[in-house]
Amino acid sequence: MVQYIVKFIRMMNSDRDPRQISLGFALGMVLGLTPITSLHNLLVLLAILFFRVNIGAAILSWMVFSGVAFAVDPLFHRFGLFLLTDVKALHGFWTTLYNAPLVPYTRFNNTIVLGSLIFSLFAFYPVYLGGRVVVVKYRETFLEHLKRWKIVQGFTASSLYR
Amino acid sequence: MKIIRWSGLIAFVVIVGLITLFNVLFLDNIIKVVVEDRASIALGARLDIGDLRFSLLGLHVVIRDLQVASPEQPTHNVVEVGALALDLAALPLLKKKFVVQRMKVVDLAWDTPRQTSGVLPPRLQKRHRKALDAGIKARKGLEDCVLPDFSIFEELKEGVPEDLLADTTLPSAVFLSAHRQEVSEARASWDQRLAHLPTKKEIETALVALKDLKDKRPKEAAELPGYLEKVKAAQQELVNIRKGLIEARRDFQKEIKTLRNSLKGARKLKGEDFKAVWAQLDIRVPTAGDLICVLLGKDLAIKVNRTIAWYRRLNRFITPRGETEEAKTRPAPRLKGTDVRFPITGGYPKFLLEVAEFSALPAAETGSERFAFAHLSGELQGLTPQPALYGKPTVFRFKGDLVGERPGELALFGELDHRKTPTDDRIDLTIKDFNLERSGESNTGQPSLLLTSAFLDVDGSLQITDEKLDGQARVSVREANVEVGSEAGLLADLFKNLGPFEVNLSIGGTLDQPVIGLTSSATRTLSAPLQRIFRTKQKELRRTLKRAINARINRKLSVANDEVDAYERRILDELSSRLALANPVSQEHGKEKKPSKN
Repeated sequence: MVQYIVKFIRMMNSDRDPRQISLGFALGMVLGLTPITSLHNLLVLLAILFFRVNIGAAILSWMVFSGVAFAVDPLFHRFGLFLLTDVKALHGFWTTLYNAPLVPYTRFNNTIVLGSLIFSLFAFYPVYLGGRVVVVKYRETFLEHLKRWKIVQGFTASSLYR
Repeated sequence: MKIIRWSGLIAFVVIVGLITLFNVLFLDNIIKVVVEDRASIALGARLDIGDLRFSLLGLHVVIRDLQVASPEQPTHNVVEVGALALDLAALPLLKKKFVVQRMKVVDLAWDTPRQTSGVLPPRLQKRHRKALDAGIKARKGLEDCVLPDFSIFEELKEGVPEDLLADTTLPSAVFLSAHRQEVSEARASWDQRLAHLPTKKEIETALVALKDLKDKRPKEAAELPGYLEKVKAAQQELVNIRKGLIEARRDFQKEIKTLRNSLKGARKLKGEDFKAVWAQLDIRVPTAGDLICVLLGKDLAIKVNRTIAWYRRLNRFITPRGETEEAKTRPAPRLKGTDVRFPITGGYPKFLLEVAEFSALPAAETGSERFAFAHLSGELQGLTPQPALYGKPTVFRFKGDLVGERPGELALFGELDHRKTPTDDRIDLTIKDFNLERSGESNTGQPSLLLTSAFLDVDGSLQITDEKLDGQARVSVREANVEVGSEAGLLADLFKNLGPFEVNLSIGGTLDQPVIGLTSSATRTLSAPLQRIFRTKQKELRRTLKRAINARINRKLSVANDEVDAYERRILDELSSRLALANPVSQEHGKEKKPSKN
């Protein structure tokens, strides 16, 4: 895991495509915000491993958003409950899903699973775009500045980083 | 840039493959632990599975040595199953529906001893919610009926203990206590009055003053009128003293007469005393209905209640509740959320047990309080929490032969139709020639009256429409032997020639508040001799009590009379002595006598 984080830092400091980092970060966010045992997370995991996204960014993002999820799960519950029970227009749709093959195993009818998944899906593209902007800005403005720091120089010279 | 990372795909396949392999290798154990934990939490006692085999391809499960511990008696199993095999339907599983197409349960046994404790482990205890219906009892209290305490009849044969009368608030005792208080107050009042009346010293002073006056008669005629005036005044003072003392004596005699007369009232309270003691003894004479209740009705009512409790559990399972509404009101566990249920629109229900066949392990035991079966088999069809979707009622039927020299039979049939409201359920039970045998140290803890052996025929039915109960059970009892404990010894002869009789239970009320009534043909047979026994015993007891109360009142009256006598003597003596001093005649006599003495 440390290796992946180091890779992530190395990638941040390189001129590699910033989309790989931001996509990894966005996918990690979905993993972190939604309950890990949900079936859709198998697809997210598949996407992280199968596509060339930065695994370090995904791990970092997963860790950060797991902490966030712990704090906001009551909000996800209320949001999920609202979607599942209060929006009458969706009732038929949920009922169809509930009676469809395999879908019940996704636990979509769980308030936190649905609330957090819908929120993550809406947040996915903004997080992806925002991540990309942050990486570009970081490289343009902060990287040169950081490189002058002794601690950074020491870290980049270490065998761990190389 | 290449988009696909093939090494990642391989890693993913390896991870998923390892997880699948782990599940396949350890699936049996995983299912076993999950089933054990979930079922134990639901039951409130341990459920142990000896061995579980799950065939993924055939969706076939075989469970061996299943034991369900009793929550009330953890050293015993409520039920033990030798083997249980079930086939799951594959297609409904894709929709997360568990459809058991066929289940076979063999070697069922009840109330078997356990080798390990059946208490729920602490980690599961927190998650166990106690059954809601555990405390529901039928009204009319048949389950709690006990024989009244007869021991008083034997205890009081020897005589009435003083403690019994002392502990009772007797009207005569209250009266005598009040009388005593009255005497005491009167005594205090007379002591005060005596203090205000002229004392002996004052009388003597007055007498001396008169005498001095008489001795100092003036010689001058002119002083005579004044002198005579003084003598007259002194004489008048003595007259007044005398008058006061006489009046006081009259008052006292009147008062003491009233006190004496009022004492007689204590004798009139004998009847009241008897009533008070009788009430204190709280002698409840049992009715023939009470005897039948203790003999059989109580146990039958307990069994009916247990049946209703089991039905309530089943009813909760097969009557779906408003899950959506429940999800709104129930607080969501942190990081877990709440599962909202939606209606199943077609196909199979969420859970369905299509057919289950049962057969019991033959019991060797004969004659017991419990059923011992030489053979028992049964079938359960269509158990589901969504009967409307399944479209058929839940039906169960069991048939068995009881062990014994005269083998009895049992047949149980039930049809629970919850497809539409009002729900319409029916349970029928028929038992023939059940040989009941039990010992004196039975579970009741009160062996004063016990039906130790009998042959029973039971014919019962229970109709449940929504929550409303309507049922009856007719129990025919033959060759009954009753053990009468020492506390109820006077009933010993009552059951010597007890012929066959019937007990009828009526079941009404609702599931939440059942009402069980009891009637019996034996009440007619038992009533007259029972009344005779108690009439005689009560007569004897009344006589003994009355004698004791009479003796007590006479004793207390004698003490009270002595107290009044002493008081009367003291006051009258004092008054008389003062009067004698103030009486001029006696004074004259005294005057005359004194010189003669000298």
